[in-house]
Amino acid sequence: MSLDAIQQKKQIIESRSRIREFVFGIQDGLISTVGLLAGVQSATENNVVVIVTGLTAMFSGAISMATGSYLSSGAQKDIFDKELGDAEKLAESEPYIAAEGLLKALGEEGLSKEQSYRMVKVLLAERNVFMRTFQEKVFGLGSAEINQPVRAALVMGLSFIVGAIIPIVPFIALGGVAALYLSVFLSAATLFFVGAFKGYLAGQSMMVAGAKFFVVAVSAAGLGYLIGLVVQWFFPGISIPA
Amino acid sequence: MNLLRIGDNAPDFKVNGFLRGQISEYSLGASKGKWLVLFFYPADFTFICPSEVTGFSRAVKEFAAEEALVWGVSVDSLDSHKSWSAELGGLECPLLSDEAKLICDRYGVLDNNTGVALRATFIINPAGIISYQVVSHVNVGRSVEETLRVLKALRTERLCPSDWKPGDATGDLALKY
Repeated sequence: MSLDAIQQKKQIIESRSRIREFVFGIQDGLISTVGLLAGVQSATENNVVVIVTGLTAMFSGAISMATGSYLSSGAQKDIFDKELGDAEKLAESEPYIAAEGLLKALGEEGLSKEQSYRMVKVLLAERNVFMRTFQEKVFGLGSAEINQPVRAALVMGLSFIVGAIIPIVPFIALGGVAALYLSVFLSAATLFFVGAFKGYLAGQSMMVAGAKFFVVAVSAAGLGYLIGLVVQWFFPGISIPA
Repeated sequence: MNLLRIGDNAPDFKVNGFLRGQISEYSLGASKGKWLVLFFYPADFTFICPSEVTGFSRAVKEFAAEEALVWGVSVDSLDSHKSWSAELGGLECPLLSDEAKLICDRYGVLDNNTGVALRATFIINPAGIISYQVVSHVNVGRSVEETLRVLKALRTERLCPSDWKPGDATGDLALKY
């Protein structure tokens, strides 16, 4: 691997760190929308109502998920930045303790005392390098660049829209029960492909990863449906549209 | 672990130590007839201890002028002492290897939590009696100058007032002790 390749790899790792928002958004967009559309279609049998409801849910869901992601990532980043700042203050006010802490951490990673000492001594000559290494090795505070709230929000929102639009499209093209069946089929297939794509990125078997993703997501949807039946059993006056 | 007091016989020991490229045996018995400054330190290759070790090393001649030997002790191996001495640019005092932790234990300075020696100094008189001991927090380095001052005070064998310095009066009843 060349140095350029290593640099590219670093960028790939940073871009792939958004996989959490991508998977979360697309899965939630698919499952929540297909469930909603199935209910509305069965209750109204009106294609326009189904499409309008679907699009409304898609945009409101995307905004909600994006803002939720922005706020949660921001909260995580704020805490992370505070911890980084505290670690920096500690290293500045107690340099010997910081050096000893790094010495111990490197020793725990397998270096001999002598090797650790020499390494820390070299690092101490460069304040910023020492600080980053100290924060990472002693406190486990890695790169903060991966935690970008705005990017996380955009990926989450767009992924939700992509996930939500798939079950809506059949109603635009076909309508009726056929659209519902196609919507469910496309949603299930998309879940499988998202899992397979994750498997590809993670270097796993695409079939296994796709199947796992499919089973977990569909099981969650099935569980939701079962809970609905149980509620209906306890409250027989309330009926779920057939 | 023993708790030693002033006036107790210093516990005996016999271990190898490293000095100027040589590995030799060091024992309390061999130091009899001379004053012995035994300083314990936590470990080689740390950022807190070097100033003390090099400080004692630089003052070896001044201690020798007071007929005192200066030996450092830690639980590190002889190989470690060898590398550490080289890292510090060569030392004039031997570093004793107490890998078995027996000396640290007998002198009551083994930190059971970390398994290394506390920052402790003993001055043992030529008869093998403990005449002075001090243990400081790991954050606080010891004063070599103070150790030398106490040694000189002990060697007067007279009452020395507080903050006594070599050359000051001793033994006068009018002095405040």
